[in-house]
Parts: sequence; C-alpha cells; structure tokens
Amino acid sequence: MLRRKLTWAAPAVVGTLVISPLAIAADYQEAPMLADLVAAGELPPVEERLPDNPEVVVAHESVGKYGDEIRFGLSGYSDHEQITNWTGHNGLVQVDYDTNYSSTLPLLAGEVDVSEDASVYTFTLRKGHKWSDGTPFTTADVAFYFEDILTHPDMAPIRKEWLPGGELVEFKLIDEQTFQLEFAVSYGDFLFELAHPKLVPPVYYQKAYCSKAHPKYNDNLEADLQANNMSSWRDYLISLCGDSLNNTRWANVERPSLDPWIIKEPYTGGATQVVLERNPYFFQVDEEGKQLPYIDRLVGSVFSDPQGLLLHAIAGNYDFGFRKLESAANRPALAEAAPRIGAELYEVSSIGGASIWFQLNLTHKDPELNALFNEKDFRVALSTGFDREEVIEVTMLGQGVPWQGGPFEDSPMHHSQYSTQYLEFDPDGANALLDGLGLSERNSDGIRLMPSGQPVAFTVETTVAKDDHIDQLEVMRAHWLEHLGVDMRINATERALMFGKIENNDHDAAVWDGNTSWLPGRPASGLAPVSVSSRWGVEWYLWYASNGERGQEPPENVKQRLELWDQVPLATNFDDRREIIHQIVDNAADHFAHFGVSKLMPNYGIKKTAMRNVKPSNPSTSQYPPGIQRTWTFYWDTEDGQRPPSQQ
Amino acid sequence: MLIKYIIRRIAWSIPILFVVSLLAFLILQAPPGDFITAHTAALLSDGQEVDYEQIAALRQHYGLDQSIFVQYWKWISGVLVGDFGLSFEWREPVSTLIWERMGLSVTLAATTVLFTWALALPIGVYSAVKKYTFGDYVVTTIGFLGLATPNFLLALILMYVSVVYYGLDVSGLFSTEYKNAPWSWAKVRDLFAHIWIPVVILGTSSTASIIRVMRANLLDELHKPYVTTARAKGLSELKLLVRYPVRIALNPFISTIGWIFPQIISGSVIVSIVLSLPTAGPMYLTALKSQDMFLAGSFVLMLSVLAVIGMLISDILLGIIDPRIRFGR
Repeated sequence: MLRRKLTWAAPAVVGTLVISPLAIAADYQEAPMLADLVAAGELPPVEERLPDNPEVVVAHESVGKYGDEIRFGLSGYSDHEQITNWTGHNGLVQVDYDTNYSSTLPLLAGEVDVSEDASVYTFTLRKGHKWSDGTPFTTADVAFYFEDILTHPDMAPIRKEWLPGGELVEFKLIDEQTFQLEFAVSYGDFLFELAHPKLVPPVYYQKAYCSKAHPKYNDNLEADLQANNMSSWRDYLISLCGDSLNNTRWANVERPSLDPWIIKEPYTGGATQVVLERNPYFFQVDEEGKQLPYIDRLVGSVFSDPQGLLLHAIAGNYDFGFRKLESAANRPALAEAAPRIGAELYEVSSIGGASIWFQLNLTHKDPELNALFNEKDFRVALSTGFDREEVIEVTMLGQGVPWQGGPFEDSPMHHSQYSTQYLEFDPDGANALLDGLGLSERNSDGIRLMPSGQPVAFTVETTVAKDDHIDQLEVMRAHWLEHLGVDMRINATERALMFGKIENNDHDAAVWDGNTSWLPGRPASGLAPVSVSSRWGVEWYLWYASNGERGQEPPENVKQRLELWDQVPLATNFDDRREIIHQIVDNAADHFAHFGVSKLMPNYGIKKTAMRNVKPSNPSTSQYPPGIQRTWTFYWDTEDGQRPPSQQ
Repeated sequence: MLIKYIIRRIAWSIPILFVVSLLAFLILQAPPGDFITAHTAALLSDGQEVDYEQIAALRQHYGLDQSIFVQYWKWISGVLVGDFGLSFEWREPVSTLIWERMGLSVTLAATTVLFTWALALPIGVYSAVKKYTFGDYVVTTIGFLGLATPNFLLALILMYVSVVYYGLDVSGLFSTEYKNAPWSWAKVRDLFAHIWIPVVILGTSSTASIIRVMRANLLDELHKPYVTTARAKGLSELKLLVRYPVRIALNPFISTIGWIFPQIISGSVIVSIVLSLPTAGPMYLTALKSQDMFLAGSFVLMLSVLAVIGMLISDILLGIIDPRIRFGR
C-alpha cells in the first residue's frame, strides 16, 4: 500500500498564492490538430488564444507528446461525475494533490490574495483568458453568477458555503480582471470549499451566452420560452447552460466553457457514446510552452449494465479510471486482463474511515429502543461483542485492520482514542455491560429481553448495491446472536428506499461507507449531526439545519459539538482549525455514538501502462477527483504519441 | 361489419387508455419517495452532500410537493395536446427522448420476430410431421436448451468470450464511428452488421417456445378426419399440410401479436441493458428507477397504447385468416 506522509507545511490558506510566470514568453506550441486549423485560417494562432500569462504546469513525470485519444466508460445515465472527473474540475482554485490536500493552488484565478483575518478574498483573472468560443473571460462573467444567478430569488436556497456565519458573501467588482469576495466573518475554509467541484459555478456561466435565458437580460424571454416549450427561465437556463452538478452540464455542445476538453458528442438521454475534444483556448502550457491538454479527444462509451463497463475495461477500452470499477469483486478480472491489454491496476486510496460505519438511530421514534440505543454501555457492548479479526478474515480476504473510523495514523487529524477504542473482542465484558443495563432476562431463543418483555431486536438498513457491507453484517449478526443474545436483522434494499426510510427517521440502525478525513470541504457527519449522512441523529440534524424550528433538540454534549462545528470554517489557519476539530473529536469519542469494523482499505481501478503523468494513487471521494492530478497533462508514451492498440 | 367493429373497438380503447394512464400514474407514485429522493440517493452514493433546504426547493420546483391528482392533471392535460412534459432527470422533452429510441426498438423487435418465425415455424412443422424421428429429437433438444437458457446470460457469455478470446466488442448496435453520426446508407449497413447478435440472443428462447407450440398445435390437427379426407382425395402432402392444418395451427400466433407490440419496449430490457443497446428498454428502466414520473408515465402509457393496438390488429387478422371467427357478436 502506497501512502505518502502527510505534511502540513505552513498555515495553508493565508497569504498570496502565485504560480511562477512563464520563462519563455512567445515560444508556444500547439497540437497538430489545432495547427491545421490555424493554417486553414479557422483559428487564430496559439499566442492569441492563450492569455498573456498562461499558467505553466510542471507535469508529474515529464513533458508530453500530443496524441489522439483516451477512452473510458460511463456507467448508465447518471454518471456525469465521470466526465467531470476528467475535465470539469475547473474552478477558481484547486486543492493541491502534492501537499495531501492541505493547501490550495490558483487555477482559473491567476492570483488569489487573502486578507490577514481570512475574510476578504481578492481574485485576479488572467488578462487575455478566453472562453472556448474565443471571447474574453472577464469579471463580468463572474459578476453574472453572483449578481444574477446565485442571489436571484428564484434560485433559492443559497448554498450554505456562501453563507458563513449566516451572512451572504458580498461580491465586489474591481476591474475587468479583479474582483473581491468579502465575508462578514473570518472564513479560513473558503478556498478549500471553492476548490471543491461543487463550487465551480462562479466560473461556469458565460454571461453572453447564458444571459439569453435570464429575465433581466432577455426582453423576449416569454417568446423564447414558448418557442422552447418551457415554463420557467430556470428550465431554459438549464437547457442552454446546464447545471454544473448534474447530467445537463454535458448536454449542450454549444455552451462555451473554460475546461481543458469541451463536449462534442453530448451526454443526453439515450446517448451511447460521449466525446470531448480539446479546448483550443485552454489557458495552461507545460514548461516547454506546449499548450495543454496533450490529448485531442476523450471518448466515453455508455454502459447501462455495470458488467458491460467491466467488459469494456478488460477489452482494453478503459484507459484510466476507477469510478464504478473499483470493487473487490472486479479486482481478479481486472488483474487477469491487465497484461493482455497493456495495463496495470491503479490504487484508489482512502484517506481515512472505516469499511463499514455502523450507526444506531439515537433519535429513534420508539421510546424503549431510543432509551436503549442512547445507553453508551449498549453501544460499547455491541462494539466489543463481535470479533473484527474474524470479519476481516472471512469477508475481506484478511486485508484489513480493526478500526472505528476517523483519519489514519499518518494524518495530522488522527485521533487515537476515537479510532481505536473498544476494538477488542470481549464477549464476557460485553455481556456484563448488557446485564448491567437490566437486559438479563432472555427468551426461549436466548435473545435478551428489554424491561417491557420485548426482545432486544433491531433492523439495520443497508443497500443491495454494497455486497461487501452485507457480508460484514452477516458475520456481525452471527456473533451478536451467539455471544450477546442480541438479534440484529439485515434489511438490504434499493438505495433510494433506504435513504427515504432514513429521511423519515423510520430506521433502527443503518450502515454506510465511513470515508472520513475531517479536512475542509466536507461536513464531519460522524462527529456531529451536521449532514443528512449523520444517520445516527437524523432528528438532531434536522434541528440543527432548521435552526431549532424542526426536529428534536439534541442532548447537551451533542449541542456543544454543534456549536464548535460552527466555529470550524471560521478558523483562520490550519492549526486552529485542527484544534477545534479535535475538541469536537474528544467529546465525540467519549460519547461513542457509532462504530466501525476495519480500516477502509484501498481498491483498484485500471491504468494503461503507456500512459504518463498519472500520480501513483487517487482517493475515491468526489471531493478529490482525478482532475486534481491535472488529467490534461496525461499523455501516451508511444513512438508517435498515439493511443496504443486496445489489446496486445 | 368489419369497419363497424373496428370503430367500436377504437372507441372503447379511449376510456381504457384513460383508466390505464391514471392507474399507471398512481402505481408509479406508490413506492415511497419520489424523483428527488432517488436523485438525493444518487448524490449521496457518490459521496456528495445535500441539505434539506435544497431538497425541499427542488421538490417545489418540480411540482412534486403538489397532490398526486394535480400532478396527474398537469401531465395528462399536456399529453392530450401532444406535450408529454419534461423529463426530470434530463430536462429534455419526454417526446424527444422516447422517439429517438423508438425507431431502433421497433427495428430490433421486428427483426427478432421475423427471425424467430422464419426459423421456428418451419422447424415446428418439421418436427410435428416427423414426430419421434432422430431429427425431431435433435430440434427438440436444441429447443429445450434454448428455452432453459436465460437471454441475458447468453448475452454476457457471448460478450465475455468475444472480448477475451477474439478481442471483439459485440455490445451496442453501431461501430464507434457511427454511434452519433447522422443516418446514411453506411450507417444502416453498420446497423445490420451488428443487429444480428441481439436478434439471435433475443430469438433463442422464443424460437424454442414457438417450435414447441407449433409442434403441439399441428399434432392436434394432423390426425383430424378432414386431413385424412383430404389425403384420401389425393391432395399432395405439401399442399394439404400448408393449406389446412398449418393455417389452423397458426391461430395462436396471430392472437399473440397483441402481446408482441408492448414487447417492443419491455421485452428486451435486460438484454438491451447487458448489450448496451440504444433502444427504449434501458431508458424505461432508468426512468422507473429514478422515479422520473413524466418519462416513466409516458412509457407506461405508450405500452398500453401498443397493447391496445396490438390486440386490435390480432383480432382483425384472426378474422381474416380464420373465417370461423365472426365479428360483432
């Protein structure tokens, strides 16, 4: 297992982040495909297409060769994230892979200046930066988003990332290249939030094109809506410009974009093939002045059936990727095919968390179960009442390490008590705890009885899509039944049914992935009920999210954590942030609301051996898609730079 | 008589379709949750975060917070004037989405039916006439094998074998260069170079069952007195066989034409998914799974329309082929 040391150099977010200016000013090179167009007079020369100061990228391994295509696969009709992974991760800033996501780098913004107290952010765009249709990309486009889309009443609600401390961000246009975002409070997490694919929108909408759908700019809107058979301008906006977070982003080939590859054959309902082609106006060059990306085209085939996707991979038509492929069940097939198709397995790392995250519903509707689940001793008894080593042996081919959750030891966020308490298998101790809770009576099947005479039985919700979860639960069920006299039943359903049930707080318990890093950009749903993923405290989350209007008021210790959680994004530097997080973790570890089984182990995708500039591993969360490796620096290390044959 | 019968049947189908559309809408609403629940689940599975306020706002935008009858009315009143609404998932008109794929679905279904009938009917006749001979046992064995093999499994095995041993990709209906190309003769040729694989896969089990049904039907007829009479009068064996018993034995197939029509969409869903065919089936399933109401509802409505039309056609054909059947009584 490959894992680099996590080092947190300086306070990560404060200060000015600048990329070195280009040494060789005018000596730019371009792909043969574009050179042909320039020669034919259909495209301006590369110097005019690039900004005055293009970003110079030093690729992971070497300067590349221009080449034809990269192939990949899409699973079904809502796999837009696969495309976004390649090309759509293009915000104002990006998270830095090389510092283990502990700092950010400017991307579309040439420069980012952060005020001392982390409340005012000044962004400078590159002069001469152009959209894929050749028109200038300026602060007017950014202003269009902030003034006409984000804050438009029809677009409510506003994402909470724009509302730190409850106050809306203030957008200030300074000149064509410069704008400021001002927050009412310190907001140290902001650049990390901005680096997340979810905050691409400020640089997603080209004003000239997208404003055709906006009531403020189009006087003939009613007629246009009617002509397109639509009733609201939001629908029209989506049909023109799409939504950066779903399928519609890749549906219109005419939408101008700033991405390295732009859509040519769209991902619409019923598409069987999606093609993206290089953006001739992409703003990055390598250290020799070659305009990126190196590869002309991305070709994705759409498979309705996951097995079809796997077959596509073992036929050698999936050049790099892991999304929807990375399951333990697929690993032997991929490993077997790899030599035949000139590929190797690609590690999909995890940065923390547990293979299974077991959450009793602490806001259960039934008073008796609610009281029982809220006894810490009961949860400790469950955690120590099954043998993790055996679960790992039986269901994970012995590859695992007992773990309750939380970031791994090499992370600065690691918290030993939280991750490793109550891991040892101790049936006697667990039974003593259960006896102490007054559950000593048993029925004829040996199941313990609650004071009301009801057996200690509950159902855990899981989904059929995660067979590895079901396998682990089966062993846990057997152990609890045999050693503790606790009857857990497993209910594996379709995921929408599972989530619907949990949203209504109708579940006894639930399991899900335990991917946790406690890094900026993602709510720590295990530490406090701060997101819908906090399935252990649905009503508490509702109370928190509605500012106390709905849901149930949580107990004092949970409230303390929620109050601390509100402080987290405001911390101005990384050490302060960690300090607050660890205060929350101390409290959460004492509460022990939920538990895990094993460390979340790496999975494997596939990568063609001839492909260069791919970093050794990539996490599998949507927060850190392969785009953070700059997929547009990938190239084929073959004689002519062209894609090698699918099979050898 | 015939015209009157057809008009009456068409008139009846209007209330039937209305009831079916209402029922379909109600049944589609029956599972807990709605499109937004499914959408949220998809987002969460991808490791994204969603919050309740956004969920509520989306639900309101899509009109999912209204009562089911209001939603039904909005949909059906549009359908009456040919507007099937926007698909929630694709934000595209439902009619565009469906029609794009229907052409290929019809082609695939028609080719499959023709293939199976062309293959199965003669074999069925042969194995009835040559009952309990070596040839009959051979086709019977093959028939049972075909019946017992699930289509989708056959598809998976075929795909695996061709990928691993021959380096061929047999999925889809077009080669890469024609997938999104506009229609041309070259594209049509490319289609027929690919379509035989799904046709054979889809055809195996129905071929097998048609062979069995044809054989059984014909065996019933072959020993009837009118056959003996005809033979005694010196009619040639082939003419005798084709003109009388085979025609009667065909009756059940004609009356099942009505079932074939809806199968254009729903019959090949699993195989289409496995083979990644650009037909309507996979989209129908996706729409059901994501609870994309207008898209799924329009599919169900279309299935019902096809079933009604199919039944009408088979009734008319039956009357033409078999004079014993009278209309209007």
